[in-house]
Amino acid sequence: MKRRPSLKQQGGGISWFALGVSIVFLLPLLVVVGMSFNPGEFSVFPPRGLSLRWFEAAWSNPAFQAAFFLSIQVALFSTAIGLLLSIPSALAIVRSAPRIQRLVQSITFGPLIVPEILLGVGILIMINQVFGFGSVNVWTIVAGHVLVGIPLSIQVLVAGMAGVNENLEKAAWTLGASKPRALIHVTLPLVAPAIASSALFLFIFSFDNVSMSLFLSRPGATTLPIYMYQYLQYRADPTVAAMSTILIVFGVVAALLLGRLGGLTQIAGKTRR
Amino acid sequence: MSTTPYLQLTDVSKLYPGGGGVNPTSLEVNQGEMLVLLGPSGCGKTTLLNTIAGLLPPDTGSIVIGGRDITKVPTHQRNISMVFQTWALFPSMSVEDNVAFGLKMRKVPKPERRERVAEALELVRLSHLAARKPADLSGGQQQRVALARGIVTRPDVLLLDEPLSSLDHQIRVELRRELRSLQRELGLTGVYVTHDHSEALALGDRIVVMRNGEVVESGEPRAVFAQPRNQYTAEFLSVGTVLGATPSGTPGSYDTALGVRTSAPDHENIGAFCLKPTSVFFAGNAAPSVVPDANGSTYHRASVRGVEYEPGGISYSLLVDSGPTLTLFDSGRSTVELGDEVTVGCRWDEAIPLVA
Repeated sequence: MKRRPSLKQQGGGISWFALGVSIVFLLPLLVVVGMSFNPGEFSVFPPRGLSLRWFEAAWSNPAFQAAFFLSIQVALFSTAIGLLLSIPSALAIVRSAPRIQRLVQSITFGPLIVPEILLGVGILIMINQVFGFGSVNVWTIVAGHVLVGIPLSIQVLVAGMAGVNENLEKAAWTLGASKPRALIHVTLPLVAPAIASSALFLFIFSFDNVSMSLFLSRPGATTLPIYMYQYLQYRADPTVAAMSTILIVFGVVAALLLGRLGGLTQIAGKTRR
Repeated sequence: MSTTPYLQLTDVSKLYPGGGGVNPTSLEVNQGEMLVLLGPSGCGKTTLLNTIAGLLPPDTGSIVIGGRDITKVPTHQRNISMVFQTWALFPSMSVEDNVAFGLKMRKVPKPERRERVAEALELVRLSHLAARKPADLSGGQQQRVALARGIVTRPDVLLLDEPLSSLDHQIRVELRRELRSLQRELGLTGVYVTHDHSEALALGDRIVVMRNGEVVESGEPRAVFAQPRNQYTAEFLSVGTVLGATPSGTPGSYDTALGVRTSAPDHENIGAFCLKPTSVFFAGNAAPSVVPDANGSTYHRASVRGVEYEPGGISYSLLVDSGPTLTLFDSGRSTVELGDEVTVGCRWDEAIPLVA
């Protein structure tokens, strides 16, 4: 592993500017986290004291729990199905003839170009037409989440696979490995970090998705972001802030993991050798 | 050794839509023989190698190894090995696991596998690095791992695609020698692709010179270097000064670019003559003459345009007044310097007639 150059080495001013912008972007999170520690009934910032009261309230709320676990369930399914779809697609993009590459790439980029909300409405209408009204369930949410997660997931995998020397697989063939075995023994271990990052992306994209979940979940069986939105419409106590803080911790852990796996550099394109 | 060739390519061709590739070509390699395909990049030598490996399907022709037609057999069922220019070691595996890979794919039982891997690593003198990852090795060491990985499976044919060209000169020479003795010792049958004629000389039992997807000339390396038949071969191998020639009207007589009329008894379609650097000499005060004297030598005024020091002497580039540049090799201690005007002699009885 190469050592990461320090901010100074990377070229002074620009880096500090980037750091500044990032901090501004992160300020709202700071406010939310601060509010969640309020001892009182109202969401105010800065907090008037330190209390874990609302964390307890959030956690012991059965509706919150249900939404939380539904979200996790949906995210896990989306990750699994998303990977099953994006690994072959990425392989096709990297390995096949240029014409097929372009076709597959444009198809998988479709969901990124179309506004998500339209996709949500579209899927809802389609499901109602095919399966009858009210047939939305966990799987329809999963379908929507997979759809929005897949373009990025494929890109991460393509970046990871493109870095694998083509001759490695050829060498494996000449040593007696059939194509599937060469893929399993040689290519996949090298792409494992990319697969892991792509799985994390799929998970996060599903976990914090709003627009798909909004259309594709059944009332009373919604994912966490939708539940929080609905909660806020009727109450203003810091419960939602506490929920958010829990999710932020969740997200930070995921981001750190992603960083460790190199997923963030894969998304940004490789700038270093 | 059997009399029928072990590896036989018959009219194998592979043309690319954008141009290039190999025109129908036939090759034969005997068991235990190392055949070197020699030519510049784009001459089709690697394409030919890839068809033997099964990495490219040939457009026409057939490939037979040990009596078995493998033209349509997928790569992994061919019992060949290939060593790549970029080594292509599996980065996630240790040296040991890299070498064991082919045996694992062949379902060789573990104890035997371990034994053979150890043996192969010993052959390339890397036993002490068995547990390392390829990234921790030097280029030369990595290439030796690739070689061990290639021979441990006892392939029918070992294919080598410019395996030494990404290495430093010194390591290249060293590894070349090792590869040669290993090949002799184990009786490996191989096809070696290179653009470096010193590699061809050092490694080949036979060489095949290629150009634009065609075989130009083939034979024992020393014979080809000593007496090339083809103008292209003489130029590509830098055998000496190649002087263009046209028929003078009398059969067997040619006018060369140096203004000298000379003869070539045996060949037809002569298009050039080659003067080896040792057939050109400093002639002191001899009078210039394009008519060969009693010794078969002609004399020309020339100016010294290049001086290169080589281990066995000095190589001069001499621009003759009448046009061409001659290469002269002098193993003595001549005092000629850059820019000097000199008289050079050419021994035409040593000139090699070349087919255009």
